[in-house]
This record gives sequence, structure tokens and C-alpha cells, in this order.
Amino acid sequence: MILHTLNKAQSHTDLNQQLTNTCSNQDSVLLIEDGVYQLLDPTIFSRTDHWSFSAKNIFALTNDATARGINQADLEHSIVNISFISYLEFVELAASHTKTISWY
Amino acid sequence: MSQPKIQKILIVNQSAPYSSGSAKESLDLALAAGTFEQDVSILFTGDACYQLLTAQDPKEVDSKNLNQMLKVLPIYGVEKLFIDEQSLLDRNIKHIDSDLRITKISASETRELYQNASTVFRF
Repeated sequence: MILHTLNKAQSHTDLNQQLTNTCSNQDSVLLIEDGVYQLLDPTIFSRTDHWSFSAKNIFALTNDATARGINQADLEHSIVNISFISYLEFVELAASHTKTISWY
Repeated sequence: MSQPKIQKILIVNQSAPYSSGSAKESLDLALAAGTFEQDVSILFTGDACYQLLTAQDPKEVDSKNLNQMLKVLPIYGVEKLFIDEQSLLDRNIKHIDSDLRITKISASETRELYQNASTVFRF
């Protein structure tokens, strides 16, 4: 049970592919910094060659999303199971997973 | 002293706003060049499209709002702002800040911008 943090948009294809190859169906992915831009494009979340296909849970850091003009309410509903979390919840996630891997 | 030749400067932005200093640095160059009455164009392409989203609130990450800073460009004589339309489509960005008066351009028009500039800076 791994927590993967991802801080790049989908334009970084190699990085996203590496995460896709690594992520198991027990793992969680947390979008931070420029990673939150991925939420603007719901089509990638229905692709089988995207890490979201295997991730058990997907989180996004609220502070980074708000800073970049991405609001939970504006997102299209086709992305299911995204939880927006605070820094404190980030800490809790890190503590509740066996390890954290940073994708950057 | 002879009058220096006016340069056609193209500033190409391809970076998202807050994860690096690139966006801010490109703006600094645009303002400086505008102050010296150069012919400045700015092109937004790739992840730089994210600079144009509305409702950014970067105090969450201790940064200045670049989107608001872009709005001062016309005061400095920088009025030619372009965005590569395909980059917007690729990122499913439907709304950009309408206060900015940015012209959407095609790949061939983008190529023309590069060809016609006397100097190109990429950020």
C-alpha cells in the first residue's frame, strides 16, 4: 500500500507512464503542485493506459488546486472518487501508507 | 547618437505558472522590453495555457497572481498576446481569462510568428 505523489501535468508523458507502470490496485495517488492540472481533463481518467485506471484512491491537495484556479465545484463529474485534502490530511496519508514515492 | 533599431521580440511561454520561475521571468522581460518601446509579442503554448486560467489564488502557495500581472502588459505597450489553440484543446481548457485579450492562433500562424520575429526568447 503505497502513496504516490505526482507533481507534473499530463504533458510529462514519460513520468505519467512510469507511474502507470508502477501503481498497483492497492495504492493511492496524490496530485500536488502542477499534478492538479490533470483534473481539468476528465478524458484521461477514463483511459486504461493512465495511472488512474489502477489506483485505489486518488487525492488532490486543495491548496495547490486553489492556487492554480482549479475548484472542486467546477470539475466535470466524469472524474469519480477524487478527494480534495488539506496539508494535515497529507501527513495522515503519508503515515497510513507503508511508504511514499515521489514522482517529479 | 542614432536611434536604436526597434526589435521584433517574440517571447514564448511554455511553462505552468507556479512550479518554476519561468513564467515570472518571461513577464519581467516583456515589461522591460515594453518600457524600451520594443515591438513585443507573447506566445503562450503547451503548459503555459495554465497561466491563463481564471480564479487563480496563489497566496495558497505564497506566490503573486501572475494572471493579474499579465493584465498590466497593455500599459507597458505590450498588446500582442497569442495562444496556440491546439494546446488549449489538448488540455481541455475551455475558459481562459477574457480580460486578457488573447488571440487564439493555429499551428501555421504560430510558425509565422517565429519566422517574423527578429529575436525569440523561450521560457
